[in-house]
Amino acid sequence: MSTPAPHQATWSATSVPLVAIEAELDRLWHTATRYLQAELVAAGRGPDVSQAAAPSSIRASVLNFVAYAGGSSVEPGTDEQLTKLADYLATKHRSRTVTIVAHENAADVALIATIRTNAQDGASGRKFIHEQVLISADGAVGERLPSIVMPLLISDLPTYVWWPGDPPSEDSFWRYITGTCRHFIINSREFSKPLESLSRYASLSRNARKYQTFGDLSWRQLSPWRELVARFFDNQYYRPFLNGVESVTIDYSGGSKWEMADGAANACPALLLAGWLSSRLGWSAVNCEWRDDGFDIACTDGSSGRDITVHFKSRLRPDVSSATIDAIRLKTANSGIQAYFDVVRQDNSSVARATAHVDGRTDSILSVRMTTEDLPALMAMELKFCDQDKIYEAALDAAGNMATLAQKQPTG
Amino acid sequence: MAAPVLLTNPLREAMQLERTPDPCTMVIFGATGDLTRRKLMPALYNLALEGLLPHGFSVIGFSRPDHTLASSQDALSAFRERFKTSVKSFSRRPIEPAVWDTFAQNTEWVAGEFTRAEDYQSLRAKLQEVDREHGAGGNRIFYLATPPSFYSEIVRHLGEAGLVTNRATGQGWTRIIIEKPFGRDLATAKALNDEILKVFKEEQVYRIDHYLGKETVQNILVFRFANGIFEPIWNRNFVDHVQITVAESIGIEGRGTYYEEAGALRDMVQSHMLQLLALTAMEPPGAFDAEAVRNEKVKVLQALRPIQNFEVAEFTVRGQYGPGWVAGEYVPGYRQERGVNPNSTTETYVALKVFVDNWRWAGVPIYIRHGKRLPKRVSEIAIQFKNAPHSPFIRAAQLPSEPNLLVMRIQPNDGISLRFAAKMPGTVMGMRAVNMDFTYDEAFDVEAPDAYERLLMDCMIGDSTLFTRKDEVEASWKFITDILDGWCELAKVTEVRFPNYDAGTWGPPAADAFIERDGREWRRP
Ligand SMILES: NC(=O)c1ccc[n+]([C@@H]2O[C@H](COP(=O)([O-])OP(=O)(O)OC[C@H]3O[C@@H](n4cnc5c(N)ncnc54)[C@H](OP(=O)(O)O)[C@@H]3O)[C@@H](O)[C@H]2O)c1
Repeated sequence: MSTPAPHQATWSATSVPLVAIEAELDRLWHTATRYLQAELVAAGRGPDVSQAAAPSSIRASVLNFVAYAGGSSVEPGTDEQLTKLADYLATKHRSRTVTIVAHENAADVALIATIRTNAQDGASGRKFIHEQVLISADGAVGERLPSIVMPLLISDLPTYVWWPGDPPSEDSFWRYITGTCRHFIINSREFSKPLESLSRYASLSRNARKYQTFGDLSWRQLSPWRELVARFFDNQYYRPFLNGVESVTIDYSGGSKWEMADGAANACPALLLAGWLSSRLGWSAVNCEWRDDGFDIACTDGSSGRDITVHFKSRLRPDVSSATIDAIRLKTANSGIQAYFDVVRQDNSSVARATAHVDGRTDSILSVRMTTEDLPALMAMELKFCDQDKIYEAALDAAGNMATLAQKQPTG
Repeated sequence: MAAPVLLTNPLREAMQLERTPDPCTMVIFGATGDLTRRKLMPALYNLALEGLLPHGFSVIGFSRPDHTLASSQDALSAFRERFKTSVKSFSRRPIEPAVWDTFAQNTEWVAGEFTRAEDYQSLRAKLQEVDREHGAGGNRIFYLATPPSFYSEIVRHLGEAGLVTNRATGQGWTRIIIEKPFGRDLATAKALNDEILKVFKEEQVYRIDHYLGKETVQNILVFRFANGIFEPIWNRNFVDHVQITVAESIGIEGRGTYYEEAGALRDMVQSHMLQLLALTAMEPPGAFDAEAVRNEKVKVLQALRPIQNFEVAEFTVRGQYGPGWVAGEYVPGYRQERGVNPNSTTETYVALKVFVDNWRWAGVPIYIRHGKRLPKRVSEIAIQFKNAPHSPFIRAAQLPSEPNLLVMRIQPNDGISLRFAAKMPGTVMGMRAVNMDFTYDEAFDVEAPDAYERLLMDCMIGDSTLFTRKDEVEASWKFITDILDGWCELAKVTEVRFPNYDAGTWGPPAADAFIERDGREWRRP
């Protein structure tokens, strides 16, 4: 996290008209710009007189970032967390940020806007200004909230919406901003009702407008896993084994905070990984059966009609805060030769090992550092994307189907 | 129903790595040298850390045995230790023990003297052993990180030892990476190409120019060809002139013996700066691939108007630094540096006025300058546009004296800035030039990979877009050799008076007069 630079200005007002917010933003922006220019001159890096050209602005925004924390209960300290997150993200992607903390169940309606301009240090040591509007919205604010948020966004820049917690329901703030949102971001590892929420998120994505894209920080975290699994089959000798997959076992673990109703850890990352494999390989999920330590999804291969079982093996670990993948194992056969392709990470290790056992022989080994990024780093990565990620959407679609099946058959 | 035949990997689609390299072995000649230590080893390790190296990848160091080490096992351990130390000192990321261990197991060492044929047989045996153990399938890359005087000889030995396999024979592929300098004039560059092409085919040869591996250099192409608004004005109708500057504040850093033989024109202009010029002036390629991009670049190099004989007096300026002050420190002059002849006439500064004789650039001068011990380190390309054809503000208190200028900065603060006139607030029509500035790290605060990481990866994948082709190297040497010859001729009739600029200044006064003659001035970046 970057430390805030000395220049910081805030301003706040209760139930104010939009013009006042805009005027204040403008004023704070100018104060901050003057401050930065003074600093540059003091550091001997001021306007080059010989060039007769003064820097006109230090602003280079690439996106609007809207964070919405709402739902039935918002944990205390959420606004500070979001502010800190936005400050960090601004060092990676210059943006205008609007943070909304909505206490939807509050009895009285109130809107408070606070504006912060912050001169921050960029990675290169150059300072830049980050402007944030923090809105605290109590009660049923309805359309009043979007009518303030929309005009504050910088025109022509893509708007990214970060929605911590479970995905929005149709009648929430989401309904108003969906038309403006270019890329919508959730983190399925943190869903409080994993199966229900994942299947709802999948249906949001299926019904999305054109040009609207969906992301999930948990999907980003799966990249190294997907890369290592894919790596086996870049090798043309192994590739035919993809047509003979018999079963896939995914071990995952998670803390008890987000456990599912039946005592299993949050299965979203594991479902997404399975969803990716099944969508790439043309399998469809047909049935789910629960076991003591997780559940099995039965799939059928679209081209050959073969049966494939995906075993989800859950482990509750009090020492981890959110769900992670521990291993993925593919059992497969081709022309009578049995093969196993495993990617396994030991507990608390940052390195995963990929091993292929073909016909009784251990064939190749690769160790790769698995990036265990924290939420701000993942979010910074996510903000790089705004093009449609068809692979993710297909994986989400398949994972959503699996989640729906799993929901229907809880343990007896 | 039968399962489909999988010609491509269905899991690979839309992954960060669209293509992954085949398993292969990389042999480094000059494994104890400076380049290997500072650049190659850290780059390989960072690729391993990112998981970008293929399964079955190994490195073999080929270098002279250290006779204090008793066994070849000791020598291998010493090589791995050296590798680790260099990664520790120069890698952009720290060592991750588990990744390092697997990686180190795949490094091998062969005792070798470049001139001894037997040693190439030992290398051959080692390669076969590695192929068996790691399944590299005969795919190999030879990296010549050696003094240039050995390039031909190593290549010849590789051929004679039967180490150059090719795909047609089903033995896997072979590629060779050759460092700069590639020759020292047109004749030697051609001779070297001939020697190499006796053993390798052109598509197996990767001549490295690490400038092309830099993100910001690649961005010149993105800026020009991924935006619709710049290409229409990127020509003689709108551009007044172009200035390409590569200024260094450092001196020759103890490489006196090398620099005496090279000089500024060979060291920097022949390779890096002519590449920058080619990227700036080329026509849009049909695709971003090795043939299309290099076809367009070579056309620019072939269209450079030659500077011959006494024309050098009009189109070039040379300089050499004397002692002076750089960044608050007093530094010796070039002639006082170690390994330099006290009467040396080697140039440490060069300025050229170049024309690209084609339809797009006819009559637009491109000024190139490079020097050592200039006030600061900066590399940039500045496109100065023509003035507005007519000013309606003729009565204005202050006229827009500064025409539009577009600067692509390569280092430091890499980015792009555009200068334009704006009205100064007030009741009169005063105006002033302002800069609209874009810097990379303001917009994208991410760590870029080192140029060598990108280039090694490209070579493993078999993509030579960012490497220079035979005809490019020869076209650039042809242009440079004319100037070198012209300087020799000129020296017969006029004495070269060096040093002619103080360290810490922007080069010889003659360079200012050179551009002012044309009614223009150098930018002060
Ligand atoms: N260094 C850089 O930053 C840099 C940048 C751009 C281009 N380059 C180019 O890269 C190449 C290598 O440069 P460098 O700076 O690394 O040179 P260097 O430090 O002098 O290294 C030369 C290497 O070649 C070995 N060698 C020399 N003669 C040999 C022989 N007869 N048999 C076996 N090994 C022999 C040396 O081994 P010993 O240790 O046994 O002598 C050493 O490993 C040059 O072409 C240079 O122009 C270098």
